[in-house]
Amino acid sequence: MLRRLPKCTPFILVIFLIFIPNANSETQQEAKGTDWLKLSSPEEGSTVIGKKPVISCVITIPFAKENLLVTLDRTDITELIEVSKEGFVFKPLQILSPGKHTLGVTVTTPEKKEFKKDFSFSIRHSKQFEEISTTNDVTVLYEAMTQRRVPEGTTDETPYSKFEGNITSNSKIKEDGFDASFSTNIRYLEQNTQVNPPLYKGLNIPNYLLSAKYTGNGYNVLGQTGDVSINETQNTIQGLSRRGSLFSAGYENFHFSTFSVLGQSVAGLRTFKEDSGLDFDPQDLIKGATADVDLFSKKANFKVIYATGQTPGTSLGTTSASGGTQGDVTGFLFKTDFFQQKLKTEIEYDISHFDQDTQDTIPKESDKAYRLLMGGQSGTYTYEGVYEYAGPKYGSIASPGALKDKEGFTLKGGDKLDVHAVNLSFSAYNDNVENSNLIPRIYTYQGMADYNYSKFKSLPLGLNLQLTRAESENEPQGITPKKTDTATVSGKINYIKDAWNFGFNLSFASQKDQINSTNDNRNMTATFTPTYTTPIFSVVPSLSFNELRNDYTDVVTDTYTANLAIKGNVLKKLNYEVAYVYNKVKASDDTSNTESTNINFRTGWLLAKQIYGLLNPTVGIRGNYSLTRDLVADTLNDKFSIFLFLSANMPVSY
Amino acid sequence: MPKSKNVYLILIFVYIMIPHASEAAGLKIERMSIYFDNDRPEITVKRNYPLKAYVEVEYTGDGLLLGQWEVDEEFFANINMTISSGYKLVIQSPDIPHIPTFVSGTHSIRLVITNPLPGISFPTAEYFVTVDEWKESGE
Repeated sequence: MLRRLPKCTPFILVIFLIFIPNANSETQQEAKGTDWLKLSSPEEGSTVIGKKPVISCVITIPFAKENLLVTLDRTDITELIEVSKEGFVFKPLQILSPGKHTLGVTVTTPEKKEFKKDFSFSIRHSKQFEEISTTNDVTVLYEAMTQRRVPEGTTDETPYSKFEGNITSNSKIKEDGFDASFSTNIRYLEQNTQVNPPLYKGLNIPNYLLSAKYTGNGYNVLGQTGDVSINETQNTIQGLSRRGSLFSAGYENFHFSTFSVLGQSVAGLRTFKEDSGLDFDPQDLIKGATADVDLFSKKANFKVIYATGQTPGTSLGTTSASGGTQGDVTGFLFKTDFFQQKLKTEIEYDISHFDQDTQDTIPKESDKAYRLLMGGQSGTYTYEGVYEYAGPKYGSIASPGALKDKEGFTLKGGDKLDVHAVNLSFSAYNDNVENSNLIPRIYTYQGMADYNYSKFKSLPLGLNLQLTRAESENEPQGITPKKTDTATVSGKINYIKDAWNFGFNLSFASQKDQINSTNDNRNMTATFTPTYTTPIFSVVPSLSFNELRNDYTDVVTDTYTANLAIKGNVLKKLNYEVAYVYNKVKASDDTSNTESTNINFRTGWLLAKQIYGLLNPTVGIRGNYSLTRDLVADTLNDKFSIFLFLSANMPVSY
Repeated sequence: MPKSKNVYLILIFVYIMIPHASEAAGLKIERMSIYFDNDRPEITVKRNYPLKAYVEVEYTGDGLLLGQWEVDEEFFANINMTISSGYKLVIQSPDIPHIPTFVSGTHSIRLVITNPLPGISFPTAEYFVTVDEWKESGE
């Protein structure tokens, strides 16, 4: 080896001679690259105490403003910087979040050479708090009707004069494990005509949420009051978004939560007693608690869920054929995940005492529901199987959509193979689970296949097929049996190029009852949407045709719908929007033939930007025209109204 | 209790139940609720925000569900759906056209069902559009 070394030496020297100059030149380029830009404020890698720190950079190579690209946390801020011969300065308008930030600068020289560099720095809002900020967005709007025409003999509730104001406010404090926030909208409305709930004249608070959280070593505590949201399982508590309070705490593997909310949904805070949810009126209250424990290194969890209370049935955003509901529900849920999501299981057993209509004389009744779920994912493959049962008297005060009088299973599977994505499902359910001989039992079988092809990014397409059979058994005397087949096929294809997106959707559905054909129908819809969208101009038209055929009467109803939405901005001063809708419905037996047209337009001129650094006033005109024509009854109604408006927004953050 | 009395009671009960059982063959709306992405029938959004509304419909039977979305009581989009047996479905407002959010101020939206004619009123949701513009970056 040693004897061979001298023989190798000339080769090694040659290699050094060849590579050393290149290595030197690369080092020089890198050195040049690091010298051309300097972050003068804040210092690179430093922690800044402040919310809107001024960021300034010195650029030593020749550059033009149009060849400069500046990003902050990957968001393009080039338009917001002030460029000078020496470099640029960025003065943030919004509060920067605490933590690490990355400033990216790209300069293209006149010789088309591109230089890139990233800087990082950190922010802390104050010495005492990592984050302490309030962001408020103030909106004021005044509009006055200048012209109006309504059909003779009709009244129009549209106000001719209206003032609306809104403050969207978000405040946060954070330090170590403590984290608190308050968000709300405060609104003011004044107009010359009456308003109906949930709108109120004068000052109102449509929503608010105060939240405080502390996370310590192995434990955490959370308290919320305002518009809280609680979700557990479909059979117990789901989609419960109400005004009230929530408290939860956790210590290592043990967790506990409790809540108390209004039974009815409200928007507004007319009086604290009525609408805060802190009045605890038993006639209008849902309360409950959950407790759970993590087992086997958090690979399993056992939870108990309880809710009780009373709701009015119909309230803001909800209408029901029955009256109010009352009752309680207790659920036991055991979940496992021992194989890194490859096999997850859920077992749930629920007991309810439920009165589904407090207006009738039938009292609360007890019943049960249970559910077994097995599913998971491995790579791109997902699967799930569910068996569920809910008795005929089962119901949950905190989950209006809970399953009732149903038993059956669903199997689902899906995979994504390169450019092919397939999802399949099959389900079989029946009602009348207790086999009452007073009503038939209806079995429903449903199969679904969904396929998406994405080889060409500019040409995605998808197909969906769904087949359903519903058939009855054990019909009591006098009840017509049922055997209905429903088939739905739909397809969609888009062609996307630059700002253009041509979309075409086609769906066909057929429903056939093999015993009683009076409701047999076919339903076909075709929709074409050629859209063009850029940041300063977009035009979004849509043409749709629907043919509905009743196979029993052979009556065909055709519906033609055309939409056009145009939006644009000129010189960042003038913005305009137009929305047009035309709809025509015509039945082949001439029982209906109607047309409707609706046009809305708005154009606004930004009078000034950031007066006193904050205020952005806009003046403009908006209008609405609508026409309805009944060609069978030979009637025509049209109306229009035009408004002048003055609006302003003012972002205030500190 | 004499056997004949039992028969009468059963006949009365069957008489009460038959209309309900017969109705099950056709589509019947039991409950409707409307909400936005925040799970509430009330939301505040920026101008030109791509707002979505959802209507959860609980029903029995199967058949055609026809109706229309209305914004500020004016026609906005059609609904033509063939519903198979089930108990609940969620109808989402269309992607095109979007719910109009270009006029600042308070607006209302609802789904009016014209077939089958529900025996309940249609729930309404309110949305307030602020003056400042929504930008896709989420600003």
